[in-house]
Amino acid sequence: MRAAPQRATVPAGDGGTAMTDNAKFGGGASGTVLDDWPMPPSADFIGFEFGEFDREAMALRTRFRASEAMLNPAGTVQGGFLGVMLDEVMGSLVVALHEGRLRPATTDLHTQYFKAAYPGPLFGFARVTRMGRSMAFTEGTISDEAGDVVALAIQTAKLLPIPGAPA
Amino acid sequence: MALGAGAAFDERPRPPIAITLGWELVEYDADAMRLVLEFPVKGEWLNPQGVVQGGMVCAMLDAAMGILVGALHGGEKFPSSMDLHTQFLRPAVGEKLIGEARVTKMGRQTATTYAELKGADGKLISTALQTAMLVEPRG
Repeated sequence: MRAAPQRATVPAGDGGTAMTDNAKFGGGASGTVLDDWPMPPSADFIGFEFGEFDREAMALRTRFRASEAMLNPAGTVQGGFLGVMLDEVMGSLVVALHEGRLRPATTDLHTQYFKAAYPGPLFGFARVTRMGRSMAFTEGTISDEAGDVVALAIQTAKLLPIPGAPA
Repeated sequence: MALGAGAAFDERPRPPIAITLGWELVEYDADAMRLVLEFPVKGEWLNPQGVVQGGMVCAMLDAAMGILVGALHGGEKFPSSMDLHTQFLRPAVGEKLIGEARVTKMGRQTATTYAELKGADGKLISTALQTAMLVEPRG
């Protein structure tokens, strides 16, 4: 097992700790380098949980939890928060495939919204459409418990080295 | 700052996302179909690089465009987003971010909007284009 990369201390805007120390990103079960990483605040906020990572297929399944805090005046999950989930599942896939050496810096996220989402469990799926040396092209979906896709996105990202990552 | 008479938002309870995102209204110009919000940056939105996660940027841009369209319809209609395309130009860092939304075209059934997110230094962080269906609130 490769050592987890060293990371800079993150300034927390609201005075809280930026990293959730008592939670691990992969929860020890994903079989990826992310197992040993602390849960990033943005992932914690959306109830990120690893599902299944398929290196051959370059695909990742995750679980999320939409909360009351994400509701718009219509009582449905605001589309931007589905974007948070899509960004997280696609980004985690790219980091896992590069074993923590590279991270995706998103340049483009194009999301289509098909159906309203409500507080409770949601399911993320991401796959790589093309992995270049300096760019990653991915697509992802968020589905509800009925199995219906509520949002779909395609993402373009530049691949940047993670400071302190193993060479 | 209140949206002003006719905007129909001033007397309504703030929706959960308003508390979550914690925005403050900076400017609302109904004639120019333009609205500016200020967002605090909260620690729970940061990715491992210490930058506001890209989806959170989408949430802020979505909020600015959504409030603008809702306000222009006096709360009688709300935008239900069908399509949101965001481009990320710079890392979203700092203690506050400024979101500005403008209407590109207001149709009878569809609102087409544009939004920018800038840092406190005025530098452009992200831009977004949104297409939304106009729906009447239930109840």
